[in-house]
Amino acid sequence: MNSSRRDFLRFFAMSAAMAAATGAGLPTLALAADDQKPDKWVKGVCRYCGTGCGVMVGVKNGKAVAIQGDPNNHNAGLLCLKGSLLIPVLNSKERVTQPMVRRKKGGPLEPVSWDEALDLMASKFRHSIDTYGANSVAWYGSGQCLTEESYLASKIFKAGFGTNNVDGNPRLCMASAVGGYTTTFGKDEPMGTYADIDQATCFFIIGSNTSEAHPVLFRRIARRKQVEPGIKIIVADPRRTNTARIADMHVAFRPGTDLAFMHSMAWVIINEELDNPRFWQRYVSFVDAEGKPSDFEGYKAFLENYRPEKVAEICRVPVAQIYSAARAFAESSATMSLWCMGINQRVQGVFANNLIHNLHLLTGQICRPGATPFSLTGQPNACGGVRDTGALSHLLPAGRAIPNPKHRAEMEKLWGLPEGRISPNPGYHTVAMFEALGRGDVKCMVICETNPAHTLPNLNKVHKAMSHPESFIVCIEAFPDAVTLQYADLVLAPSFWCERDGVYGCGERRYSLTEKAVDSPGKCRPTVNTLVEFAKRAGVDPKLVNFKNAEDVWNEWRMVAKGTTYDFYGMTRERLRKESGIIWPCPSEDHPGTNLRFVRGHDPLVPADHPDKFFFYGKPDGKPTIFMRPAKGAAEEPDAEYPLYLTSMRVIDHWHTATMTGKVPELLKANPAAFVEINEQDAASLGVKHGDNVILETRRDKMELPARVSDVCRPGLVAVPFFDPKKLVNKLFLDATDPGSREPEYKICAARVRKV
Amino acid sequence: MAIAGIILSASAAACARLEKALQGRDGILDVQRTPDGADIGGLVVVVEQPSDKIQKELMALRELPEVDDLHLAFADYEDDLDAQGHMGCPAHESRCHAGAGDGESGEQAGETK
Repeated sequence: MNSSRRDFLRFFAMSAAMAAATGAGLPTLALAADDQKPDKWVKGVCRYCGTGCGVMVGVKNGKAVAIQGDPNNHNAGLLCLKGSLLIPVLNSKERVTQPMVRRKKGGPLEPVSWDEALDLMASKFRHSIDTYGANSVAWYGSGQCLTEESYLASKIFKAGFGTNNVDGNPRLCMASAVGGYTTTFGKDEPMGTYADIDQATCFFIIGSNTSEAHPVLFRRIARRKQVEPGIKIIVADPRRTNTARIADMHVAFRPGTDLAFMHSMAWVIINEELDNPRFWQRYVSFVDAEGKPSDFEGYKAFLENYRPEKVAEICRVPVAQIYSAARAFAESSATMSLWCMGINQRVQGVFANNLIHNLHLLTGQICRPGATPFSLTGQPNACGGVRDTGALSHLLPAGRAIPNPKHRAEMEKLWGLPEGRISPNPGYHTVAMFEALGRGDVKCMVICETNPAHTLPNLNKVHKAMSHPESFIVCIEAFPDAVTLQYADLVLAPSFWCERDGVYGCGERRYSLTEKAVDSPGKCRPTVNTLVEFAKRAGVDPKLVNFKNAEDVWNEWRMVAKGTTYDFYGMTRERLRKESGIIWPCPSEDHPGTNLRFVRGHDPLVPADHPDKFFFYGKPDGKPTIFMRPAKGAAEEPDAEYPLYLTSMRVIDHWHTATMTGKVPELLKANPAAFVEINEQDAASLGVKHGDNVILETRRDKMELPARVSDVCRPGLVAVPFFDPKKLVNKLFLDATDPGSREPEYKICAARVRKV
Repeated sequence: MAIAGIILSASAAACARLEKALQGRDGILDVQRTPDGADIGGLVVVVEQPSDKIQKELMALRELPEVDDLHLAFADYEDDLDAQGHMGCPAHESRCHAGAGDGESGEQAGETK
């Protein structure tokens, strides 16, 4: 590197960091000579977690060479270490760069032309639909697809083919949060935003290792605690994670007992008169354990089963923690709850979500700056792309539901379909979809930008299903080392991240545009174009897929959401190019977006003359529900044969199945392989030392892993990360699902450990 | 070489000691204190390391005594791109999952060519 270029980059690095520290805008490039500037900085969104940080990609000579945080997006110019290493991932040589076909099961993948690939795909799907019916085909998408891709795929399958077999990996991570929001409030997605972090005075973090899974948000929380003394942080998690390091109180409850814990907090709040009757009397309804209407007295009586002294024994936590947590939650001027997979990936995931909402409704800690229940999201576009567009088997776009005839009729009209075209029956949810594949009921499946042969629970069963001799599996996948490609009959090469333009919607209802920064390698194509071409060749009415590019799809999607409670009609492509994300509802082009949902004067969907300050318009009576959900525990509890709890966990260095982070040498070196985390007491009783190899066994499989002995797990609990493709630990987990959300219980099963 | 602009958040009292600790450390190009009233108080640091080493260095900086956190604002890898714009990555290893478990391993549908 020549010295002037180096000096320039040194100057720019200092300026960018100083700007981020002080909250100033992007540093000026005016001081740099023309030949030292990147040719352009292109705005986008980080490719990793659901935080959805804004990034600026520096492009020189057509190649991405630099990345910095977008100072105008919510992350204020900051990035986590994974995000800062996206450029090496984008520039990796290990990409799928052309279509490939496996001409015979068990044979190798061979290069094939796009024409042949799309013709083959179209003919297989058409034949299957004509011979076995529309429900013999399926789409398995992802929270990593662009919004335009998910919307288009859902339309092709639901309107074009006539099947609701459209699901995706958000079923594995966020479905219970969706169920929680929709049952309690009548509408999905949080009412607050990340900006609430800067106003909250108490954080109730339960079932979320924010530090490792959402580092930029964790830093924002940590900074809040740093700058304002008296901020309380409660971390409730059976593991003493890095997140717990900044906690005033770490509640290490026994796995699966968090519902009892939260009911007990409610008991304390009511019995110490810390509730907010002015709020709940006016705005809240009550539903009993049988699903019947009830009242506050009924709720109070229900909670008698959850007195702290009894619950402390169930949870195996000090009783004082229940009292302290409840008081801190209720007495704070603004309490923000944050949760993620620890709550969602459970057979009682929806119920657990409901109980978090209960605490906020009981105390009125809601719809004020800093006071909100806020579900953290795992993927960059699970919210905007899959939940909002309705790319799940029971949903239609913008909060509409398949079983609702009015909603189906609306979509048939919007999509120009004959009456009755959209099937009234929900399609297969994820676990059922792969079971149907194994039975031969689903014969053709598209898997787009996700790696189910690595991520689904009870993987041996899934691998067997994906090996069905009559199956035809198409993978749209950027990285050749994804385990799922081993089961693909056809692989299509997609443009990745900023090689094409499109929208991501992150966890705070913020839609941000990633603009095209660089060309795709080889023969890669934007998936929108691939899907349009596939649909036309498969006999879908061309009028349904009359899109030249992602912007065309976006403009239709804006129309479909217009006038609904998801209204973002005001987010034109032009606005998204100029602004660093906009938060819906945003019904008109001059609307700035909405931070506080359901609040008069803030939310454009609440009439300005509404008599009440809050209007929860998702519910017919305008009242969210406090549910009396019984705490029942896990689907598979430890017993004499398998005496330990096993849970799934994350490490900061890797994201999901490491097909991206595994391309970065230092990330891979930091955590090269899976391990099993064991409490030091358990390790001592098993005669296991740190680094020893052990056999970790469940009723489904067993595997040898090195032991990482520490005090992170509470006694009786062991944990494994799932990123390592050489140790597919999800073979160990069971595929029991929440009956409401159909999200699998990755967080708890029974296991045993022995030294090798 | 890759260049990164980072913020090491730390208390005002710790900044002087940290500044001293960073002086002379390999790959540290520049260190400045954030101004009073900055959103994030501490030191702004410019780090230069080969692309495949910079992550390790950032992690080491984060673990320095009295550093509360590390925030990354800018990273540049231009110097380490090859003529095709590619960057070195770990040698490819087949991500075969056979042997992951001792039980039913799942049938292989074939390997990528």
